[in-house]
Amino acid sequence: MTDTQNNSLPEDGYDLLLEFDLDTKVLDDQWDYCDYMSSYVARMVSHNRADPFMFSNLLSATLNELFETVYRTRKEAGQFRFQILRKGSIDRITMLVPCAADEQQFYIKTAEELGTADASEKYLDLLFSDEGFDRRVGLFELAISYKAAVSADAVEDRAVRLTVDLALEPETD
Amino acid sequence: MANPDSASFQFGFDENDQVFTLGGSMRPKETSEISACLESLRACAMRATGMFYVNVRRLLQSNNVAFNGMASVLLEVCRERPDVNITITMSSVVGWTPRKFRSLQRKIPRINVVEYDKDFYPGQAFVEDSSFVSVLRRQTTMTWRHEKHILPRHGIGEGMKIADICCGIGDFAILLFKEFNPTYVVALDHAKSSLEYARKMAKEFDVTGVEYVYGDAAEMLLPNGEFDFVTCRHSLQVFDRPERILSELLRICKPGGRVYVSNEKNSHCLGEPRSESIQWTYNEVAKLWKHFNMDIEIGPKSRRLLLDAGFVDIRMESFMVTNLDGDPEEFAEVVRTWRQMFAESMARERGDDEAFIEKFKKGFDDHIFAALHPKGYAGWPIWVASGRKPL
Ligand SMILES: C[S@@+](CC[C@H](N)C(=O)[O-])C[C@H]1O[C@@H](n2cnc3c(N)ncnc32)[C@H](O)[C@@H]1O
Repeated sequence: MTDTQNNSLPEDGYDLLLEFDLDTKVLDDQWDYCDYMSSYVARMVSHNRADPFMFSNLLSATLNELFETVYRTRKEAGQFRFQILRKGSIDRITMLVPCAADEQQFYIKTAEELGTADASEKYLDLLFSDEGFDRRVGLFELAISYKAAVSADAVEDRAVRLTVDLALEPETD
Repeated sequence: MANPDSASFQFGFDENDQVFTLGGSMRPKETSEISACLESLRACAMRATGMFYVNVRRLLQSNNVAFNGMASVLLEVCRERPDVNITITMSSVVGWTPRKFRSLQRKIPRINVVEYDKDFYPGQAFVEDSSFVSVLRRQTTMTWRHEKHILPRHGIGEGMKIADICCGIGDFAILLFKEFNPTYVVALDHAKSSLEYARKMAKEFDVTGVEYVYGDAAEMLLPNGEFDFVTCRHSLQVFDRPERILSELLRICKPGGRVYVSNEKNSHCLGEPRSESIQWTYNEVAKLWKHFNMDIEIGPKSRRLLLDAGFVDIRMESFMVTNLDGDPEEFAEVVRTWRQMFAESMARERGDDEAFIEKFKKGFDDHIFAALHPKGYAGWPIWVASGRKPL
């Protein structure tokens, strides 16, 4: 991918651990990829955490929610880009999802909702909803249950860039 | 339950104890993909009487689709069967579960969510005590002098994948790492304080090939058939059902690989002079452990335990750690910590009177006396045994 210069550069002292691009068409067809990708990435980047097993379990759970959300996004043709970066105890996940304006808005609006006072209540409503599955639940879970910082920005009119900062391990000395 | 690492999931119901068990990884796209499981959960819960358990201790992953499906079934059961009490047992080892099931409990306060934890093992409180650290450290220094030479006879070699289960403070794993150049070592324990100590020590010695993992030896989340060599030292004796641990050791061992255990028979500790008092005290140690449902006499039983667990080609030997191996003060120090732990913590916990405790301590003091005596001899016997997992 060439046209996303500012997405491939690690910023703010973050180290890039792993990145890949995937044709959005492949992602549309393959639900199982969500599981594969989250398990694989979690395994690859967990070994130097204090408790690799615990860390990888949590990271896989959170990544899977993100990948599933992306799967359920109406994507435009192009390349989906995934990165995981690290600075100290923070793992930063970024995802660039090619999509049109309405889907950009879905991410941007949901990210805003996460900061509202009733976000916790809303998370429980979504989690236990009996009106079918609401695809916002994954992002709510990250923000509420895992205390992640979630933000979404439109990249022109062709994609949305999702950034999730996670601290999955209590800091030790 | 087969392979906890596989992407698939398993479920089953134990009629007897009314336990519905879910395991593996549940990440369906639609609830309909797991309808058989949800139906079964609903049916089992609906015909339960009294207490109904849902065991998710080995449910490694579940996405929100599956979680929502499960929760709806449980909600429905709560509505229709107000007489049934639902308890969910989860494990602190499976990271995602506590936060998620706590949310469920917030939603349905009637559901009881319990973390399967220390109370499940007799004497767990003693061995998870952080003062235990210093005993373990000294003990390993003394046994390693012998085991370093013994291990190759039990099949350890270079370049292996090794697991040390119930690793304590992790010093043995580091020694293995340095001596036998393994591909990697996974060291697992259930005491967080010990693991913390272990990680610090590995850092200090600049050892990066040992992964210290929090886990439950009776229900490990390590994959099947992964390790060439599995060790479990001085630990079968802290469980009331060592055969459960052995079956887990067998499971994670590669077919053709070997499992190595070491155990004591404390009543055979000995010393000269003052042998009688020493012997009396260590006989009492055996009874004391028995009181807490632990068997510190397992050593010579290792052969039977390994055979019963399904191992073949059993190799077994014993060695005696003595005051002559190294500095006698080292030996004395270990006995001092035993005295502290057995006479002060455990005997008091059992409710023994002062007179007994005094006499009990005397044997340890005499053992120390023998160890430090210029003409004395003091010993602590250990049995090691290993078996091969059939192909
Ligand atoms: C007597 S110590 C032996 C430690 C170490 N192998 C050694 O030789 O120094 C027993 C160990 O078993 C651990 N343990 C007890 N219950 C456990 C469980 N359910 N799962 C994993 N480890 C457990 C304790 O935390 C303790 O570190």
